[in-house]
Amino acid sequence: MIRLPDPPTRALVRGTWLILSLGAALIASVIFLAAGAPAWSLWGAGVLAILLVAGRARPRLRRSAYGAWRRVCGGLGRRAGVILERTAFAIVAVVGWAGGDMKRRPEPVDSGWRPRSTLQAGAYTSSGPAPEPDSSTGWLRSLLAWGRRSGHGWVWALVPVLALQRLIRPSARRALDGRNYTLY
Amino acid sequence: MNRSSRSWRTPARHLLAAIAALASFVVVIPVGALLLTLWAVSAAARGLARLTTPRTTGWKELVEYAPEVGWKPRPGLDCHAEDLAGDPFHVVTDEEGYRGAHGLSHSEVVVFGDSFAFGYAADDEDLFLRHAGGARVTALAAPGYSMVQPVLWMERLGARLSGKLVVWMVYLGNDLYDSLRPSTDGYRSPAVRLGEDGTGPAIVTAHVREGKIGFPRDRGVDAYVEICSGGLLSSRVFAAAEYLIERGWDACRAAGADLVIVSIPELSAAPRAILERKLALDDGAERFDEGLLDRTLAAICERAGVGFVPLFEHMGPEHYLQVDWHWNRAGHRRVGRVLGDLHALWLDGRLSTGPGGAADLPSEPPPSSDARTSAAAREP
Repeated sequence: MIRLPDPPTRALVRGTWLILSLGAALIASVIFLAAGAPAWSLWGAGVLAILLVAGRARPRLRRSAYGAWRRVCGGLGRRAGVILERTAFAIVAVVGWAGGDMKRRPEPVDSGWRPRSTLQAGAYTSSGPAPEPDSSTGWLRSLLAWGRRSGHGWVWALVPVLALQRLIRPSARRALDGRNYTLY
Repeated sequence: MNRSSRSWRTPARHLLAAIAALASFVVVIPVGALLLTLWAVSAAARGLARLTTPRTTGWKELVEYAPEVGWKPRPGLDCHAEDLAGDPFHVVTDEEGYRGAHGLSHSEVVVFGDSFAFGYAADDEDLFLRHAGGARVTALAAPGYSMVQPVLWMERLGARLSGKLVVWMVYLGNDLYDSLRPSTDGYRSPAVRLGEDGTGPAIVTAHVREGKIGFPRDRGVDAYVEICSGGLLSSRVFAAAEYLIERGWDACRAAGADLVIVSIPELSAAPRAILERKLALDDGAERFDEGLLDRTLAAICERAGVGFVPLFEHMGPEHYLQVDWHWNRAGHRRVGRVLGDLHALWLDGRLSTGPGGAADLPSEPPPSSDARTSAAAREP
Protein backbone atom coordinates (compact mmCIF):
# COMPACT_ATOMS: atom_id res chain seq x y z
CA MET A 1 0.00 0.00 0.00
CA ILE A 2 2.69 2.56 0.92
CA ARG A 3 5.24 0.79 -1.24
CA LEU A 4 4.97 1.38 -4.95
CA PRO A 5 5.41 -1.49 -7.41
CA ASP A 6 8.59 -2.49 -9.17
CA PRO A 7 8.87 -2.38 -12.14
CA PRO A 8 6.74 0.76 -12.37
CA THR A 9 4.79 2.00 -15.34
CA ARG A 10 5.91 5.25 -16.95
CA ALA A 11 2.73 6.97 -15.73
CA LEU A 12 3.46 5.95 -12.15
CA VAL A 13 7.02 7.28 -12.36
CA ARG A 14 5.69 10.57 -13.74
CA GLY A 15 2.98 10.73 -11.07
CA THR A 16 5.45 10.08 -8.26
CA TRP A 17 7.80 12.75 -9.60
CA LEU A 18 4.97 15.28 -9.73
CA ILE A 19 3.80 14.51 -6.19
CA LEU A 20 7.35 14.61 -4.80
CA SER A 21 7.93 17.89 -6.64
CA LEU A 22 4.76 19.33 -5.12
CA GLY A 23 5.92 18.16 -1.70
CA ALA A 24 9.34 19.75 -2.19
CA ALA A 25 7.71 22.99 -3.34
CA LEU A 26 5.46 23.00 -0.29
CA ILE A 27 8.43 22.47 2.04
CA ALA A 28 10.37 25.22 0.26
CA SER A 29 7.43 27.61 0.66
CA VAL A 30 7.19 26.85 4.37
CA ILE A 31 10.93 27.40 4.82
CA PHE A 32 10.81 30.75 3.00
CA LEU A 33 7.72 31.72 4.96
CA ALA A 34 9.47 30.89 8.24
CA ALA A 35 12.52 32.85 7.09
CA GLY A 36 10.28 35.86 6.52
CA ALA A 37 10.75 36.00 2.76
CA PRO A 38 8.05 38.23 1.27
CA ALA A 39 7.40 36.20 -1.89
CA TRP A 40 7.50 32.80 -0.22
CA SER A 41 4.83 31.32 -2.49
CA LEU A 42 6.79 32.41 -5.57
CA TRP A 43 9.85 30.64 -4.21
CA GLY A 44 7.78 27.49 -3.83
CA ALA A 45 6.44 27.85 -7.36
CA GLY A 46 10.00 28.36 -8.60
CA VAL A 47 11.17 25.15 -6.93
CA LEU A 48 8.21 23.31 -8.46
CA ALA A 49 8.95 24.68 -11.93
CA ILE A 50 12.66 23.76 -11.71
CA LEU A 51 11.85 20.21 -10.61
CA LEU A 52 9.22 19.72 -13.30
CA VAL A 53 11.56 20.98 -16.02
CA ALA A 54 14.41 18.82 -14.68
CA GLY A 55 12.17 15.75 -14.66
CA ARG A 56 11.01 16.47 -18.18
CA ALA A 57 14.56 16.96 -19.46
CA ARG A 58 16.07 14.01 -17.60
CA PRO A 59 13.65 11.06 -17.43
CA ARG A 60 16.35 9.04 -15.71
CA LEU A 61 16.16 11.50 -12.81
CA ARG A 62 12.46 10.70 -12.39
CA ARG A 63 13.21 6.98 -12.35
CA SER A 64 15.98 7.46 -9.77
CA ALA A 65 13.64 9.51 -7.58
CA TYR A 66 11.01 6.79 -7.89
CA GLY A 67 13.53 4.14 -6.84
CA ALA A 68 14.70 6.27 -3.92
CA TRP A 69 11.11 6.84 -2.76
CA ARG A 70 10.44 3.10 -2.97
CA ARG A 71 13.51 2.41 -0.84
CA VAL A 72 12.49 5.04 1.73
CA CYS A 73 8.98 3.56 1.93
CA GLY A 74 10.38 0.04 2.14
CA GLY A 75 12.90 0.83 4.88
CA LEU A 76 10.58 2.92 7.01
CA GLY A 77 7.71 0.51 6.39
CA ARG A 78 9.75 -2.44 7.61
CA ARG A 79 10.79 -0.65 10.80
CA ALA A 80 7.25 0.59 11.42
CA GLY A 81 5.97 -2.93 10.85
CA VAL A 82 8.24 -4.33 13.55
CA ILE A 83 7.13 -1.62 16.01
CA LEU A 84 3.45 -2.21 15.26
CA GLU A 85 3.83 -5.97 15.54
CA ARG A 86 5.45 -5.61 18.96
CA THR A 87 2.75 -3.18 20.03
CA ALA A 88 0.05 -5.67 19.01
CA PHE A 89 1.82 -8.46 20.92
CA ALA A 90 2.12 -6.19 23.94
CA ILE A 91 -1.64 -5.49 23.91
CA VAL A 92 -2.38 -9.22 23.66
CA ALA A 93 0.09 -9.95 26.46
CA VAL A 94 -1.54 -7.35 28.73
CA VAL A 95 -4.99 -8.78 28.00
CA GLY A 96 -3.56 -12.20 28.77
CA TRP A 97 -2.98 -11.17 32.39
CA ALA A 98 -6.67 -11.75 32.90
CA GLY A 99 -6.17 -15.36 31.87
CA GLY A 100 -7.12 -17.18 28.72
CA ASP A 101 -9.69 -19.69 27.52
CA MET A 102 -7.13 -21.99 26.02
CA LYS A 103 -6.80 -25.39 27.65
CA ARG A 104 -3.12 -25.92 28.19
CA ARG A 105 -3.51 -29.55 29.22
CA PRO A 106 -6.38 -31.83 28.21
CA GLU A 107 -8.41 -33.14 31.11
CA PRO A 108 -8.53 -36.95 31.03
CA VAL A 109 -12.32 -37.09 31.27
CA ASP A 110 -12.99 -34.14 29.01
CA SER A 111 -11.92 -35.28 25.55
CA GLY A 112 -12.28 -32.94 22.60
CA TRP A 113 -13.61 -35.83 20.52
CA ARG A 114 -17.35 -35.95 20.16
CA PRO A 115 -19.42 -38.78 18.69
CA ARG A 116 -21.02 -37.75 15.39
CA SER A 117 -23.64 -39.58 13.42
CA THR A 118 -23.51 -40.05 9.66
CA LEU A 119 -24.76 -37.07 7.65
CA GLN A 120 -26.60 -37.01 4.36
CA ALA A 121 -24.14 -37.18 1.47
CA GLY A 122 -24.93 -33.63 0.35
CA ALA A 123 -24.27 -32.21 3.80
CA TYR A 124 -20.57 -33.00 3.69
CA THR A 125 -19.91 -30.20 1.27
CA SER A 126 -20.93 -27.62 3.86
CA SER A 127 -20.06 -29.38 7.08
CA GLY A 128 -16.97 -27.22 7.67
CA PRO A 129 -16.87 -23.66 8.97
CA ALA A 130 -18.34 -21.01 6.73
CA PRO A 131 -15.69 -19.09 4.78
CA GLU A 132 -14.66 -15.77 6.21
CA PRO A 133 -15.48 -12.63 4.24
CA ASP A 134 -12.87 -11.48 1.73
CA SER A 135 -9.96 -10.23 3.81
CA SER A 136 -9.22 -7.36 1.45
CA THR A 137 -12.60 -5.73 2.01
CA GLY A 138 -14.25 -7.05 5.16
CA TRP A 139 -11.38 -7.76 7.51
CA LEU A 140 -12.51 -5.22 10.12
CA ARG A 141 -16.13 -6.34 10.08
CA SER A 142 -15.01 -9.95 10.19
CA LEU A 143 -12.67 -9.37 13.13
CA LEU A 144 -15.22 -7.40 15.15
CA ALA A 145 -17.98 -9.93 14.45
CA TRP A 146 -15.70 -12.69 15.65
CA GLY A 147 -14.84 -10.70 18.77
CA ARG A 148 -18.52 -10.13 19.56
CA ARG A 149 -19.51 -13.72 18.81
CA SER A 150 -16.73 -15.30 20.84
CA GLY A 151 -16.70 -12.88 23.77
CA HIS A 152 -13.34 -11.41 22.75
CA GLY A 153 -14.50 -7.82 22.42
CA TRP A 154 -11.04 -6.71 23.56
CA VAL A 155 -9.83 -7.14 19.95
CA TRP A 156 -11.15 -3.59 19.41
CA ALA A 157 -7.93 -2.47 21.07
CA LEU A 158 -5.94 -4.02 18.23
CA VAL A 159 -7.85 -2.25 15.47
CA PRO A 160 -5.66 0.91 15.17
CA VAL A 161 -2.51 -1.21 15.09
CA LEU A 162 -3.91 -3.65 12.54
CA ALA A 163 -5.24 -0.81 10.39
CA LEU A 164 -1.79 0.74 10.25
CA GLN A 165 -0.19 -2.62 9.52
CA ARG A 166 -2.38 -2.93 6.46
CA LEU A 167 -0.74 0.21 5.05
CA ILE A 168 2.61 -1.61 5.07
CA ARG A 169 1.33 -4.67 3.25
CA PRO A 170 3.32 -5.18 0.04
CA SER A 171 1.30 -4.31 -3.02
CA ALA A 172 0.57 -7.08 -5.46
CA ARG A 173 3.61 -7.60 -7.66
CA ARG A 174 2.96 -7.35 -11.34
CA ALA A 175 3.28 -10.75 -12.95
CA LEU A 176 6.03 -10.62 -15.56
CA ASP A 177 6.65 -14.19 -16.46
CA GLY A 178 8.64 -13.36 -19.55
CA ARG A 179 6.26 -15.21 -21.80
CA ASN A 180 3.94 -14.42 -24.59
CA TYR A 181 0.76 -12.42 -24.34
CA THR A 182 -2.75 -13.72 -24.72
CA LEU A 183 -3.51 -13.94 -28.40
CA TYR A 184 -7.23 -14.37 -28.90
CA MET B 1 -14.41 -23.53 31.88
CA ASN B 2 -16.88 -22.59 34.57
CA ARG B 3 -19.35 -19.77 34.14
CA SER B 4 -18.19 -17.69 37.15
CA SER B 5 -14.56 -17.39 35.98
CA ARG B 6 -15.73 -16.24 32.57
CA SER B 7 -18.07 -13.68 34.11
CA TRP B 8 -15.23 -11.68 35.66
CA ARG B 9 -12.67 -12.45 32.98
CA THR B 10 -14.42 -10.70 30.11
CA PRO B 11 -14.75 -7.25 31.75
CA ALA B 12 -11.21 -7.59 33.11
CA ARG B 13 -9.94 -8.26 29.62
CA HIS B 14 -11.85 -5.28 28.27
CA LEU B 15 -10.42 -3.04 30.96
CA LEU B 16 -6.86 -4.25 30.38
CA ALA B 17 -7.31 -3.92 26.64
CA ALA B 18 -8.53 -0.35 26.99
CA ILE B 19 -5.53 0.54 29.19
CA ALA B 20 -3.11 -1.18 26.79
CA ALA B 21 -4.71 0.51 23.78
CA LEU B 22 -4.42 3.94 25.39
CA ALA B 23 -0.80 3.26 26.31
CA SER B 24 -0.08 2.02 22.80
CA PHE B 25 -1.13 5.38 21.36
CA VAL B 26 2.25 6.73 22.46
CA VAL B 27 3.74 4.48 19.78
CA VAL B 28 0.84 4.25 17.36
CA ILE B 29 0.31 7.99 16.84
CA PRO B 30 3.83 8.92 15.60
CA VAL B 31 4.17 5.69 13.62
CA GLY B 32 0.71 6.26 12.17
CA ALA B 33 1.51 9.85 11.22
CA LEU B 34 4.64 8.69 9.40
CA LEU B 35 2.88 5.84 7.62
CA LEU B 36 -0.08 8.00 6.63
CA THR B 37 2.28 10.56 5.10
CA LEU B 38 4.05 7.86 3.08
CA TRP B 39 0.71 6.36 2.12
CA ALA B 40 -0.71 9.73 1.03
CA VAL B 41 2.23 10.33 -1.33
CA SER B 42 2.05 6.81 -2.77
CA ALA B 43 -1.74 6.92 -3.11
CA ALA B 44 -1.62 10.33 -4.81
CA ALA B 45 1.03 9.07 -7.24
CA ARG B 46 -1.07 6.00 -8.03
CA GLY B 47 -4.17 8.13 -8.49
CA LEU B 48 -2.36 10.52 -10.79
CA ALA B 49 -0.99 7.59 -12.80
CA ARG B 50 -4.50 6.18 -13.17
CA LEU B 51 -5.84 9.55 -14.29
CA THR B 52 -3.14 10.03 -16.91
CA THR B 53 -3.20 6.47 -18.26
CA PRO B 54 -5.56 5.91 -21.17
CA ARG B 55 -7.98 3.01 -21.00
CA THR B 56 -6.33 -0.02 -22.54
CA THR B 57 -7.90 -2.73 -24.64
CA GLY B 58 -7.10 -6.35 -23.87
CA TRP B 59 -5.36 -8.49 -26.46
CA LYS B 60 -8.46 -10.60 -26.92
CA GLU B 61 -10.10 -7.59 -28.52
CA LEU B 62 -7.03 -6.65 -30.58
CA VAL B 63 -6.52 -9.90 -32.47
CA GLU B 64 -8.95 -12.33 -34.03
CA TYR B 65 -8.87 -15.87 -35.25
CA ALA B 66 -7.76 -16.32 -38.84
CA PRO B 67 -7.87 -19.68 -40.64
CA GLU B 68 -4.49 -21.29 -41.37
CA VAL B 69 -2.34 -18.52 -39.86
CA GLY B 70 -4.06 -18.80 -36.45
CA TRP B 71 -4.64 -15.13 -35.63
CA LYS B 72 -4.25 -11.62 -37.05
CA PRO B 73 -4.72 -8.07 -35.77
CA ARG B 74 -8.30 -6.82 -36.03
CA PRO B 75 -8.94 -4.28 -38.76
CA GLY B 76 -9.82 -0.70 -37.94
CA LEU B 77 -8.22 -0.54 -34.50
CA ASP B 78 -7.54 2.84 -32.92
CA CYS B 79 -6.96 2.16 -29.26
CA HIS B 80 -4.36 1.67 -26.57
CA ALA B 81 -2.92 -1.71 -25.63
CA GLU B 82 -0.70 -2.58 -22.67
CA ASP B 83 2.90 -3.67 -23.12
CA LEU B 84 4.64 -6.23 -20.94
CA ALA B 85 5.61 -3.54 -18.42
CA GLY B 86 2.03 -2.29 -18.12
CA ASP B 87 2.63 0.87 -20.16
CA PRO B 88 -0.01 1.75 -22.73
CA PHE B 89 0.82 2.16 -26.39
CA HIS B 90 -1.31 3.48 -29.22
CA VAL B 91 -2.28 0.94 -31.88
CA VAL B 92 -3.86 1.86 -35.20
CA THR B 93 -4.59 -0.69 -37.90
CA ASP B 94 -6.04 -0.12 -41.34
CA GLU B 95 -9.14 -1.76 -42.78
CA GLU B 96 -7.16 -4.97 -43.37
CA GLY B 97 -5.58 -5.09 -39.92
CA TYR B 98 -2.13 -3.83 -40.96
CA ARG B 99 -0.11 -1.12 -39.24
CA GLY B 100 1.06 1.77 -41.38
CA ALA B 101 -0.55 4.86 -42.83
CA HIS B 102 -0.53 3.95 -46.51
CA GLY B 103 -2.24 0.59 -46.79
CA LEU B 104 -0.80 -2.38 -48.62
CA SER B 105 -1.76 -1.21 -52.10
CA HIS B 106 0.04 2.13 -51.82
CA SER B 107 3.11 0.88 -49.94
CA GLU B 108 6.50 0.34 -51.55
CA VAL B 109 7.86 -1.70 -48.64
CA VAL B 110 5.95 -4.48 -46.90
CA VAL B 111 7.30 -5.75 -43.59
CA PHE B 112 6.42 -9.23 -42.35
CA GLY B 113 7.25 -10.61 -38.93
CA ASP B 114 6.25 -11.05 -35.32
CA SER B 115 5.61 -8.58 -32.49
CA PHE B 116 8.74 -6.54 -33.35
CA ALA B 117 7.49 -5.99 -36.90
CA PHE B 118 4.01 -5.32 -35.50
CA GLY B 119 5.52 -2.56 -33.36
CA TYR B 120 4.57 -4.03 -30.00
CA ALA B 121 5.02 -1.52 -27.16
CA ALA B 122 5.42 1.41 -29.59
CA ASP B 123 2.94 4.21 -30.15
CA ASP B 124 1.73 4.41 -33.71
CA GLU B 125 3.52 7.72 -34.22
CA ASP B 126 6.85 6.23 -33.01
CA LEU B 127 6.75 3.12 -35.22
CA PHE B 128 9.77 2.35 -37.39
CA LEU B 129 7.40 2.60 -40.36
CA ARG B 130 7.17 6.35 -39.77
CA HIS B 131 10.95 6.85 -39.75
CA ALA B 132 11.88 5.03 -42.93
CA GLY B 133 13.12 8.13 -44.75
CA GLY B 134 10.00 8.79 -46.74
CA ALA B 135 9.42 5.21 -47.83
CA ARG B 136 5.79 4.13 -47.74
CA VAL B 137 5.79 1.10 -45.46
CA THR B 138 3.09 -1.28 -44.20
CA ALA B 139 3.60 -3.99 -41.58
CA LEU B 140 1.77 -7.30 -41.96
CA ALA B 141 2.70 -8.73 -38.62
CA ALA B 142 1.21 -9.92 -35.36
CA PRO B 143 2.51 -10.74 -31.90
CA GLY B 144 3.39 -14.39 -31.55
CA TYR B 145 4.02 -15.07 -35.22
CA SER B 146 6.85 -17.46 -36.06
CA MET B 147 8.55 -17.66 -39.47
CA VAL B 148 5.64 -19.72 -40.79
CA GLN B 149 2.84 -17.13 -40.83
CA PRO B 150 4.83 -14.62 -42.94
CA VAL B 151 5.30 -17.30 -45.62
CA LEU B 152 1.57 -18.09 -45.59
CA TRP B 153 0.77 -14.37 -45.89
CA MET B 154 3.26 -13.94 -48.78
CA GLU B 155 1.64 -16.85 -50.61
CA ARG B 156 -1.85 -15.63 -49.83
CA LEU B 157 -1.21 -12.04 -50.93
CA GLY B 158 0.64 -13.12 -54.07
CA ALA B 159 0.16 -10.55 -56.80
CA ARG B 160 -0.60 -7.78 -54.29
CA LEU B 161 3.11 -7.79 -53.44
CA SER B 162 4.07 -7.19 -57.04
CA GLY B 163 6.76 -4.54 -57.52
CA LYS B 164 7.31 -4.11 -53.79
CA LEU B 165 10.24 -4.67 -51.48
CA VAL B 166 9.36 -7.35 -48.93
CA VAL B 167 11.29 -7.08 -45.66
CA TRP B 168 10.93 -10.16 -43.50
CA MET B 169 11.95 -9.55 -39.90
CA VAL B 170 13.05 -12.64 -38.00
CA TYR B 171 13.40 -12.30 -34.23
CA LEU B 172 16.23 -14.61 -33.22
CA GLY B 173 14.86 -14.93 -29.67
CA ASN B 174 12.01 -17.28 -30.61
CA ASP B 175 10.91 -17.14 -34.26
CA LEU B 176 13.26 -19.93 -35.35
CA TYR B 177 12.15 -22.37 -32.66
CA ASP B 178 8.45 -21.41 -32.83
CA SER B 179 8.39 -22.37 -36.51
CA LEU B 180 8.59 -26.02 -35.43
CA ARG B 181 5.86 -25.76 -32.81
CA PRO B 182 2.18 -26.33 -33.63
CA SER B 183 1.13 -24.15 -30.71
CA THR B 184 1.96 -20.70 -29.39
CA ASP B 185 1.07 -20.35 -25.74
CA GLY B 186 -1.63 -22.97 -26.16
CA TYR B 187 -3.11 -21.41 -29.31
CA ARG B 188 -2.93 -23.48 -32.48
CA SER B 189 -0.37 -22.16 -34.91
CA PRO B 190 0.88 -23.42 -38.27
CA ALA B 191 4.22 -25.18 -38.09
CA VAL B 192 6.88 -26.82 -40.25
CA ARG B 193 7.00 -30.60 -40.35
CA LEU B 194 10.46 -31.48 -41.55
CA GLY B 195 9.40 -34.80 -43.05
CA GLU B 196 12.54 -36.68 -42.13
CA ASP B 197 10.69 -39.88 -43.13
CA GLY B 198 11.27 -38.94 -46.76
CA THR B 199 8.08 -36.99 -47.33
CA GLY B 200 10.01 -33.71 -47.30
CA PRO B 201 9.33 -30.54 -45.34
CA ALA B 202 5.88 -28.99 -45.37
CA ILE B 203 3.82 -26.40 -43.51
CA VAL B 204 1.12 -28.06 -41.44
CA THR B 205 -2.09 -26.09 -40.94
CA ALA B 206 -4.71 -28.83 -40.63
CA HIS B 207 -4.78 -28.55 -36.83
CA VAL B 208 -5.29 -24.76 -36.78
CA ARG B 209 -8.69 -23.97 -35.33
CA GLU B 210 -10.05 -21.40 -32.94
CA GLY B 211 -9.35 -22.16 -29.30
CA LYS B 212 -6.57 -23.62 -27.27
CA ILE B 213 -4.73 -26.90 -27.52
CA GLY B 214 -3.03 -28.86 -24.75
CA PHE B 215 0.61 -28.65 -25.73
CA PRO B 216 3.77 -28.26 -23.64
CA ARG B 217 4.79 -24.66 -23.13
CA ASP B 218 7.81 -23.60 -25.10
CA ARG B 219 11.22 -24.00 -23.50
CA GLY B 220 12.14 -20.34 -23.78
CA VAL B 221 15.74 -19.63 -22.95
CA ASP B 222 16.64 -23.35 -22.77
CA ALA B 223 15.71 -23.78 -26.42
CA TYR B 224 17.58 -20.59 -27.35
CA VAL B 225 20.76 -21.86 -25.69
CA GLU B 226 20.39 -25.23 -27.36
CA ILE B 227 19.91 -23.65 -30.79
CA CYS B 228 22.96 -21.43 -30.28
CA SER B 229 25.01 -24.45 -29.20
CA GLY B 230 24.73 -26.25 -32.51
CA GLY B 231 23.02 -29.51 -31.52
CA LEU B 232 20.12 -31.49 -32.96
CA LEU B 233 17.54 -28.76 -32.26
CA SER B 234 19.82 -26.26 -33.94
CA SER B 235 20.01 -28.31 -37.14
CA ARG B 236 16.23 -28.82 -37.11
CA VAL B 237 15.35 -25.12 -36.70
CA PHE B 238 17.81 -24.10 -39.40
CA ALA B 239 16.46 -26.77 -41.76
CA ALA B 240 12.98 -25.33 -41.16
CA ALA B 241 14.27 -21.77 -41.61
CA GLU B 242 15.93 -22.68 -44.90
CA TYR B 243 12.75 -24.31 -46.15
CA LEU B 244 10.64 -21.30 -45.14
CA ILE B 245 13.03 -18.73 -46.62
CA GLU B 246 13.13 -20.62 -49.92
CA ARG B 247 9.34 -20.90 -49.92
CA GLY B 248 8.91 -17.23 -49.04
CA TRP B 249 11.37 -16.23 -51.76
CA ASP B 250 9.47 -18.41 -54.25
CA ALA B 251 6.25 -16.58 -53.35
CA CYS B 252 7.89 -13.16 -53.68
CA ARG B 253 9.60 -14.05 -56.93
CA ALA B 254 6.35 -15.36 -58.38
CA ALA B 255 4.66 -12.11 -57.34
CA GLY B 256 7.46 -9.96 -58.75
CA ALA B 257 8.63 -8.70 -55.37
CA ASP B 258 12.12 -8.46 -53.89
CA LEU B 259 12.89 -10.04 -50.53
CA VAL B 260 15.31 -9.12 -47.77
CA ILE B 261 15.60 -10.97 -44.47
CA VAL B 262 16.34 -8.80 -41.43
CA SER B 263 17.38 -10.61 -38.26
CA ILE B 264 16.48 -9.07 -34.90
CA PRO B 265 18.99 -9.84 -32.14
CA GLU B 266 18.04 -10.65 -28.57
CA LEU B 267 19.52 -7.60 -26.79
CA SER B 268 16.87 -6.58 -24.27
CA ALA B 269 17.99 -6.46 -20.66
CA ALA B 270 15.32 -8.72 -19.14
CA PRO B 271 15.83 -11.80 -21.39
CA ARG B 272 19.62 -11.21 -21.40
CA ALA B 273 19.67 -11.42 -17.62
CA ILE B 274 17.76 -14.73 -17.71
CA LEU B 275 20.16 -15.98 -20.38
CA GLU B 276 23.25 -14.96 -18.40
CA ARG B 277 21.93 -16.78 -15.33
CA LYS B 278 21.23 -19.89 -17.39
CA LEU B 279 24.70 -19.82 -18.93
CA ALA B 280 26.34 -19.34 -15.55
CA LEU B 281 24.71 -22.57 -14.35
CA ASP B 282 25.01 -24.58 -17.56
CA ASP B 283 27.83 -27.00 -18.21
CA GLY B 284 27.51 -26.55 -21.96
CA ALA B 285 28.00 -22.78 -21.85
CA GLU B 286 31.31 -23.03 -23.71
CA ARG B 287 29.47 -24.30 -26.82
CA PHE B 288 27.09 -21.33 -26.72
CA ASP B 289 27.66 -19.07 -29.72
CA GLU B 290 24.99 -16.50 -30.53
CA GLY B 291 26.83 -15.47 -33.68
CA LEU B 292 25.86 -18.89 -35.07
CA LEU B 293 22.29 -17.63 -35.66
CA ASP B 294 23.25 -14.75 -37.92
CA ARG B 295 26.03 -16.71 -39.63
CA THR B 296 23.73 -19.61 -40.47
CA LEU B 297 20.89 -17.34 -41.61
CA ALA B 298 23.36 -15.40 -43.77
CA ALA B 299 24.54 -18.67 -45.34
CA ILE B 300 20.93 -19.78 -45.94
CA CYS B 301 20.08 -16.43 -47.54
CA GLU B 302 23.21 -16.60 -49.67
CA ARG B 303 22.27 -20.06 -50.94
CA ALA B 304 18.71 -18.90 -51.63
CA GLY B 305 19.85 -15.65 -53.22
CA VAL B 306 18.03 -13.45 -50.70
CA GLY B 307 19.42 -10.27 -49.17
CA PHE B 308 20.24 -10.45 -45.46
CA VAL B 309 20.68 -7.69 -42.89
CA PRO B 310 21.63 -8.62 -39.33
CA LEU B 311 20.30 -5.81 -37.13
CA PHE B 312 22.97 -6.72 -34.58
CA GLU B 313 25.33 -4.62 -36.70
CA HIS B 314 23.03 -1.62 -36.35
CA MET B 315 21.56 -1.82 -32.85
CA GLY B 316 22.58 -2.04 -29.23
CA PRO B 317 20.92 -2.64 -25.86
CA GLU B 318 20.09 1.06 -25.68
CA HIS B 319 17.53 0.48 -28.44
CA TYR B 320 15.48 -1.90 -26.32
CA LEU B 321 13.04 -1.33 -23.49
CA GLN B 322 14.12 -2.34 -20.02
CA VAL B 323 11.21 -4.46 -18.79
CA ASP B 324 9.34 -5.22 -21.98
CA TRP B 325 11.83 -6.74 -24.43
CA HIS B 326 10.78 -4.92 -27.58
CA TRP B 327 12.34 -1.83 -29.14
CA ASN B 328 12.07 1.57 -27.51
CA ARG B 329 11.59 4.83 -29.35
CA ALA B 330 15.30 5.06 -30.26
CA GLY B 331 15.19 1.46 -31.47
CA HIS B 332 12.27 2.19 -33.76
CA ARG B 333 14.10 5.21 -35.18
CA ARG B 334 17.19 3.12 -35.82
CA VAL B 335 15.22 0.32 -37.50
CA GLY B 336 13.37 2.96 -39.52
CA ARG B 337 16.70 4.31 -40.71
CA VAL B 338 17.88 0.84 -41.72
CA LEU B 339 14.61 0.35 -43.58
CA GLY B 340 15.03 3.73 -45.26
CA ASP B 341 18.55 2.79 -46.36
CA LEU B 342 17.30 -0.54 -47.72
CA HIS B 343 14.55 1.27 -49.58
CA ALA B 344 17.04 3.72 -51.08
CA LEU B 345 19.34 0.87 -52.21
CA TRP B 346 16.35 -0.93 -53.67
CA LEU B 347 15.21 2.16 -55.58
CA ASP B 348 18.73 2.57 -56.96
CA GLY B 349 18.75 -1.07 -58.00
CA ARG B 350 21.73 -1.67 -55.73
CA LEU B 351 19.94 -4.06 -53.39
CA SER B 352 21.34 -7.36 -54.50
CA THR B 353 18.93 -10.20 -53.99
CA GLY B 354 20.61 -12.54 -56.41
CA PRO B 355 22.94 -15.39 -55.41
CA GLY B 356 25.41 -14.26 -52.79
CA GLY B 357 23.64 -10.98 -52.32
CA ALA B 358 23.63 -9.67 -48.82
CA ALA B 359 22.23 -6.17 -48.46
CA ASP B 360 25.21 -3.84 -48.46
CA LEU B 361 24.26 -1.40 -45.70
CA PRO B 362 26.76 0.68 -43.75
CA SER B 363 26.82 -1.00 -40.36
CA GLU B 364 26.54 1.02 -37.17
CA PRO B 365 28.09 -1.02 -34.39
CA PRO B 366 26.60 -0.50 -30.97
CA PRO B 367 28.61 1.78 -28.67
CA SER B 368 29.78 -1.02 -26.43
CA SER B 369 32.31 -3.57 -27.64
CA ASP B 370 30.03 -6.44 -26.68
CA ALA B 371 26.41 -5.39 -26.97
CA ARG B 372 25.04 -8.71 -25.84
CA THR B 373 27.01 -8.68 -22.59
CA SER B 374 26.21 -5.07 -21.86
CA ALA B 375 22.49 -5.76 -22.34
CA ALA B 376 22.55 -8.16 -19.40
CA ALA B 377 24.47 -5.63 -17.34
CA ARG B 378 21.58 -3.20 -17.83
CA GLU B 379 19.11 -5.43 -16.05
CA PRO B 380 16.58 -3.09 -14.32
